Amino acid sequence: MALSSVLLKMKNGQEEHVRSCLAEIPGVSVETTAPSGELIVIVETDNIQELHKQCLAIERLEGVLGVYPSYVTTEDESEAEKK
Amino acid sequence: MDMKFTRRDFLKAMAISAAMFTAGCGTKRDTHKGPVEQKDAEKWVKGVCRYCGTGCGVLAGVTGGKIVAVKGDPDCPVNKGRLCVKGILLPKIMDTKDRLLHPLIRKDGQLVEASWDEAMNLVVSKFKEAIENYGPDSVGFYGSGQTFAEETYTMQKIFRAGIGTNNVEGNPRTCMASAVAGFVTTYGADEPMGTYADIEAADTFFLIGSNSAEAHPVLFSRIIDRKNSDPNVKIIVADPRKTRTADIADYYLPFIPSRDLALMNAMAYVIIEEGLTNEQFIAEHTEFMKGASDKITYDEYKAFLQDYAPEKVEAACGIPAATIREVARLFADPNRKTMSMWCMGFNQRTRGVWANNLVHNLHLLTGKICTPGNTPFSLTGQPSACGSVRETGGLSHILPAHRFVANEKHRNELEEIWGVPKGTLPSKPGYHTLEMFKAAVTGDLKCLWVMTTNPGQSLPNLNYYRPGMEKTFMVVSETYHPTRTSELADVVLPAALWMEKEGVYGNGERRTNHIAKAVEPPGEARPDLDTIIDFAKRMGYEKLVPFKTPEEVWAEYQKCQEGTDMQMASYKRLREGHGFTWPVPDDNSPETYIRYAEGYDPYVKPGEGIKFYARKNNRAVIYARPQIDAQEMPDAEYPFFLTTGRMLEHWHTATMTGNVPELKNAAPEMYVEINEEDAKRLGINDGDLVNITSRRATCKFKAKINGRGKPMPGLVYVSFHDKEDDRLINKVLLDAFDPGSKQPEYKICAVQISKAS
Repeated sequence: MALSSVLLKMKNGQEEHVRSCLAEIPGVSVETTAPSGELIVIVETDNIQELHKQCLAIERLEGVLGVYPSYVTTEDESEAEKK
Repeated sequence: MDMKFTRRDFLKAMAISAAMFTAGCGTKRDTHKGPVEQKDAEKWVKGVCRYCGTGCGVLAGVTGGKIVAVKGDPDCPVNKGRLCVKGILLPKIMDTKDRLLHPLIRKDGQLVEASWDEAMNLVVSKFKEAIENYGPDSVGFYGSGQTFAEETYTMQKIFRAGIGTNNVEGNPRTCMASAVAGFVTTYGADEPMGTYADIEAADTFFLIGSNSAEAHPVLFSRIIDRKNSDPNVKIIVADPRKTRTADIADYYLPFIPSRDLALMNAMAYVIIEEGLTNEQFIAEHTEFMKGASDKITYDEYKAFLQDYAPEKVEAACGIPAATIREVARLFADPNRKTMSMWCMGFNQRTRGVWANNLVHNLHLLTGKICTPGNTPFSLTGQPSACGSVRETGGLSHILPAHRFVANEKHRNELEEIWGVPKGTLPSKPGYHTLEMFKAAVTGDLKCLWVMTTNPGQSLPNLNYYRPGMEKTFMVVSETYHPTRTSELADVVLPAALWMEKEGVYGNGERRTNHIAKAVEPPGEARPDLDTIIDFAKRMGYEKLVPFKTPEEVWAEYQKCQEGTDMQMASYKRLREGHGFTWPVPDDNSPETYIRYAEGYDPYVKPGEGIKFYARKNNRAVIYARPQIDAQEMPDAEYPFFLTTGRMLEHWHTATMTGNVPELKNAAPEMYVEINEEDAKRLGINDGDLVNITSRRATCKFKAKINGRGKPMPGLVYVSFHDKEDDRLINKVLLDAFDPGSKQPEYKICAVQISKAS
């Protein structure tokens, strides 16, 4: 499993639209809106390939200005590789 | 109900906590404290991102000898915990299928495995033979803004004080030499006076020749934050191609390629005509010039600008006069603070230095400089083009700590520090980049050592230069093989990558930052510094290079900085901190936010106010620079402009990002962006295969219409990350260069486009 927290910046007035788009993406959950107006989003996927695919899908959503991951771990993945 | 808190829950909580902190929801920390203790990896090691010149701090989580997690360093003031979508995948560049694990040497036309001893003996014998038979200028070094500072510093010392040649060059020549020359000609010294902290203080942003949304995403996020924090903040984006950066623009100026010189002169005209100048600042801190050194008066400068009234140049620029006037007023508004930012769109031009001078003019005319939020700021493309090349003496005309080869006093200072006889250092500047590779073609350059860069893909007009790389004896120090350069090499030396070694990077805001070693390099790969020291010993330069560690190199490099305006922190302080913007005269000094300004710059005494002390008369120069078009403008035969640049998912020649499946799959091949109207006229649909032909070569790309970038009519755009022969766009480019900076023209040439059969 791969897991990342990302900060998502949006064009003004686009939060509702972006939130509804995010709700359609598997493994993506919106945790909260930061005081700065950014969405704090958790992306959980089976592996880092999928994780990154989801991040790029978010990056390309209408109304999104940028996706900024602040944390990524593949610890589970490397554990799985060992097994 | 199962209330078990799993390891995964813990990791998720960590991730949310990191994001909350990054978003400013955490407690304020002392940014110079050590890394935060974490328990979600065996250890966390502090480093700097390997990609662009932003210089984001990263923490690499190591478990079982491998980097398993990455997060933004919350204590690094550059990114405050934030990363971009490339940065998070940094661990993936390390264990790739094409990691070079052993030295290779060419035998019977094939590259075959060899021992380090065999490879280094071959390198040394070839270099000695060339020097003996053809002189010291028959060999050269081509380095990179991705090496560590210690590596370039040591190599340039060997070449200059040992071999006796200034053929020490590096790829920053191709990305920021015009910015260097712009700073030097205007202020007398390289590198910006401001830092990224100006972003949070500026009210107006003038972004020109920069797609920061894709090329510097974390800085772009800081600009967005600033805009969101205050509705009064306005953003001007000037670029012939509408990029994602323009999504946040209040004014978007799609000027005709290469006519930005006229645009900025027109803005200067408006600033003067409408009385928006800061006359006191002009009188106290500036002088006027045309050409390299011809002084002119303020009135003569005003007369020069008469040809650039917005109404006279609007057609040439492609921007309505009223818009030029509006943005000039916004730029110069005395109640606002203005920050200009630019990058390759300015620098990779045959008049790149002039473009740089002209943006400096706007700040000097208005006095919007050297105070928080008021600054011209040149962005950089590589993680350490400043720290490892501009500062260490990694170009053919410069010496360490911003000294110049042509300056005898500077050479003598280094001769004394290095303990070599006066007169040892050669006085003639070496080959600049295109000259160096041309000398390989003509046979004048017998041996070339390429380190951490890929000129076999990145030079313009490639078909001319690649045979030279094949002909000369070429050593390539690389992490990966094959690259479009290593495939032409005679010796390929496996290099440790990123956090497999210790060293120092310097980013675009004068921030010197330390990267700790986190893991061991694979196979027989070793740090380039070890290879350079080995080379020195075998060449007989052991006395010149007595170093055993990067820290020892740094200690000597610090001696070179004494008495200059570029003093940096000690290794001890760098190891403990999160980067320091120089000058830092000693380890008790704070970092310097603003150069040349009293209260910030330790070299400006109380009462001196603003002092451009790198110029003899302490005055910066406002230049009369006329509009001159690019060397190759479209004509009837080649009717389109071609420009090149970067995309978010990839970086440079994609030796790293092309190796990361997630990035490769996201953007598997480059494409050509065509304006919708042009495509319709030519019967080209999205996805059609298109020929792009210049006077030099043809490439084929799929067409992209209304993609993430939208070129203006008459312009096509291609990212240069693709290594496949059919899509090696640099074959198509022109190899003209700026006469001052010698930086090649990557941004403008003329092409035909047609639907491929």
